[in-house]
Amino acid sequence: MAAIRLKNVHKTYPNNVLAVSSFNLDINEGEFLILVGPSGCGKSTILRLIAGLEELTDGMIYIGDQLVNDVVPKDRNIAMVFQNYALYPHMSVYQNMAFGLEMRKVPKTDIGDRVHEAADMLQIIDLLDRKPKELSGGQQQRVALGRAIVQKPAVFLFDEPLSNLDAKLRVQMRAQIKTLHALLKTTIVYVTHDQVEAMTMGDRIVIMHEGLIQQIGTPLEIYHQPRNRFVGEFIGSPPMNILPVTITTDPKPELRHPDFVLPLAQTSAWLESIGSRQVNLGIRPEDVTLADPHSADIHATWPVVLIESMGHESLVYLKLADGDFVAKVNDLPGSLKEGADIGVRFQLDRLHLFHWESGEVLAP
Amino acid sequence: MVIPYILFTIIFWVYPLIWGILIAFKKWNIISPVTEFVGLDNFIKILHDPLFWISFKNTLIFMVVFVPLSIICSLMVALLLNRIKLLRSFFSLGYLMSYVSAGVAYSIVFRLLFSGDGLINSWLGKVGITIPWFSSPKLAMVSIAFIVVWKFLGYYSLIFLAGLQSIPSTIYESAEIAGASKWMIFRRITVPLLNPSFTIILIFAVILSFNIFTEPYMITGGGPLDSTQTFMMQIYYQTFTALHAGYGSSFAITVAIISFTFVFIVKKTIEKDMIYS
Amino acid sequence: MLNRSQSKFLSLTATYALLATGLIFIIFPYIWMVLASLKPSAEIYNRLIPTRITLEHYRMVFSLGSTGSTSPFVRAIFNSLVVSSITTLSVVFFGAITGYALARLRFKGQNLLKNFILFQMLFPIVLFLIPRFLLMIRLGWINTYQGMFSPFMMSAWGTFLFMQFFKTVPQSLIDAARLDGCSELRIVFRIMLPLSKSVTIIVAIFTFMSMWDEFLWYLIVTKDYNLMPLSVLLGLYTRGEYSSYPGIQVAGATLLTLPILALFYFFREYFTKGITMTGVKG
Ligand SMILES: Nc1ncnc2c1ncn2[C@@H]1O[C@H](COP(=O)(O)OP(=O)(O)OP(=O)(O)O)[C@@H](O)[C@H]1O
Ligand SMILES: [Mg+2]
Repeated sequence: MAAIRLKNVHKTYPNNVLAVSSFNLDINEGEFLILVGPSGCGKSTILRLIAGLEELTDGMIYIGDQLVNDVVPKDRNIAMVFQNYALYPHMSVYQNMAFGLEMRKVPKTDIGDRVHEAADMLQIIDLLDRKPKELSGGQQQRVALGRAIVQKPAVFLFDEPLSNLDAKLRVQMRAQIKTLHALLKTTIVYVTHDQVEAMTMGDRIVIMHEGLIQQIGTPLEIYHQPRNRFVGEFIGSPPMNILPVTITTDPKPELRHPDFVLPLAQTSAWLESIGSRQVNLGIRPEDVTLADPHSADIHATWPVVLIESMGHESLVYLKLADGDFVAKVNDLPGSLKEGADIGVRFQLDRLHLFHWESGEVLAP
Repeated sequence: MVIPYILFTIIFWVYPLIWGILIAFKKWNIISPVTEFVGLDNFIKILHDPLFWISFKNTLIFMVVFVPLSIICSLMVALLLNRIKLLRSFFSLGYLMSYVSAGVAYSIVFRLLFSGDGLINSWLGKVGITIPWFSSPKLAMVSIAFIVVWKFLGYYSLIFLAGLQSIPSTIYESAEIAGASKWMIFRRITVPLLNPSFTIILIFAVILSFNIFTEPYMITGGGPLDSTQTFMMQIYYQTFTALHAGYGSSFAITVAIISFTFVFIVKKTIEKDMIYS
Repeated sequence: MLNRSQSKFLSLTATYALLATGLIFIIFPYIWMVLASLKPSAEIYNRLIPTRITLEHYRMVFSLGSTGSTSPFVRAIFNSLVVSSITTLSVVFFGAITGYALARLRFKGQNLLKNFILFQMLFPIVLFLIPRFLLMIRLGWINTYQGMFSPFMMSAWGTFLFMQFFKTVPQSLIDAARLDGCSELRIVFRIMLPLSKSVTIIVAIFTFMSMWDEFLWYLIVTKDYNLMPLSVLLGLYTRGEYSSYPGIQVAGATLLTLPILALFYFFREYFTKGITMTGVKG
């Protein structure tokens, strides 16, 4: 268990790709931290920097109290689990798990004990004599976990460990990793681009985009208070609807869209600081309700293009003059059908306003 | 981790290469400490050396026999191997057996087998002919080319076979549907698509032609009447028997340049052929 | 008229017949060699099948040499084994580490070195014969084992092959090994080489074979009969002392051939793989 501290970390690859810049992050001891972001945003780079597999271009990394900039990977007291498992194909499961300990000159009997202990925990005792290619994907994944566990490291680094598994196994492994964390209390940095993993597994989430941190927060913070348009759109499925609207104060504070007008409840000081201008309005699909077009308190009326029902909830796709709108609802009004108009009601306390250019949230 | 390689290369590759070029412009008999700078004299001498021209001629004879014969035979073997499934690896390995024979060993075998009173001639004698394989100046180099074909037949076949197998069968099928005859398919599809294999084999064969040494050294010693003198034999005798290191070196450089030119010509012609067809 | 399946059968039969005929031409010299080494001298020239089997030539080969000393042939076999084995180990060792560094590490001048290795393969051996010989004189390595093997200890070809193969090994395996505490050398020998079994075997067998078969270089750097590898010793004996003893010559040729044939037999698929994969070593 150790805290990790990244201070002003930069990484430029030899081909001049700037993979990570101005990266500041404090990871607490025993924390389960998720790194999430689109492909190529630098998640793996961060992990590899923490592991020491890449050299920093600039900045400092501490593991525990130690500055590890010049410490080789094996002395950083970390273990890593890779997306493709990276099991040594020519070694048995046992040898795979024992290899790192052997290299560290752990006594033979201790190695045996530790491997068996980990194998027991992961229910792979029966597989110890097999070669990796004789294992299923899920089993390989568990061996990879086992190989990390036997090291008893201070930090686990996971790089999209579940993305090669099918949906069902993924759910299982998710639970298993969480259980392991509860048991071992080792600090975990976990990279994923799966939202569900991000939202359900970690204590905190770091959202990255093009090498920059977009937001750090608990899953709920990230979900309810996205700091910018990118975070808002990235987290949540289907993604947040974005509509261009105009803020006006004349005659009264309102958000105007060609199809609707919404009252603005913000303080006049805030309104003054913003002025009247164009902004992007973000509304999550689950933050609207649908109603009969003739109902009294609806905000807009749009034609329905498509209804996707998933049993307990449905996605309703609506057609706007300049784009689409998705609603995720539990109750379908009786008049809802493809091709016909439907009334939409926004949950006014769940609106997000983003700066037109910078995308930063316009916090009330 | 690359330092050993770099050191090694400097000592055993770069340094000799440069040294070799430098002494090519000198007169030096290895033993004496004095070397005399003679400029291009060695190279001029080569052009007036009858043995250089004889070796050149012999190399050309070798090539004229070896290159087409080995290519035709190995292509045939490869085509045959490509048609069968059962026993294919047995046959390819069988043909490869000659490739692994040591130069000295098979030279001894062929010298005895094809000698004037050897087994082959004693068999031929039964129908009333004997062939002076290695003892006729006209035939000796040709015979040497034959036995080198024997050695490389399987090797080249395998390269061709790999080329043949990389041609997708759909190409053949569509040509067949289009009504092309067997010969047309071979001429218009197989041969052009085998171009990479042809190129590599031709280059190997040309380089090899300039490096022939063991066979004539062991079988004929360069005779009869210098008909099997090769460049390598000349370089060997000039340097290690006559001790003309400078002359030998310039000889080596000349040969390298000639062989390089040949390889270059082969490459260019074949590439042109490719575009054309 | 033949129907389709009949004509197919005929053409297949013809294919096998042709292949078998060709194969006889390939194998016949071997058969002749082995038989000739086992028959009385008088029959070597004009009989294929011996009237009786005799081991006299082999007895001669193994008992030659002045009284009391081992036969020069036995010593020569030993010398060949020493020189070929050292070279093979060295080519694999240095080829693997250099290939690994070129394929998987980053260092200054890396691309230059890569291109240089390709460039090296363009140069014909003839350019190096004389100056390397002079170098051996300077180093005092004429008539030594190191004189015979040193110029071949590292090979651009082997290095290139390793490099190409090592490029295909997933980066995460190397990362995992580094985290497990492997030094770079360990990574090469504990991870990369075991994963590249076929390339390793291919480099090893082709190197061993070319060193076993080498003639000209040994001829140049060894004058001492006690140190000669088998190929040169046999070559010189055939042209010299034993030029009128064909029995000894064929027995020697058989001894020179058999180890490589055995190697060929045991690693046969690697020979074909090596040739088709790279079209290497003309
Ligand atoms: N070894 C490397 N050399 C050069 N550029 C690299 C290297 N590794 C990554 N990059 C580049 O750095 C950027 C960040 O890559 P990184 O692997 O960290 O992304 P990622 O967030 O892990 O993406 P993914 O979700 O696809 O795994 C990318 O633009 C990538 O092309
Ligand atoms: Mg990644």
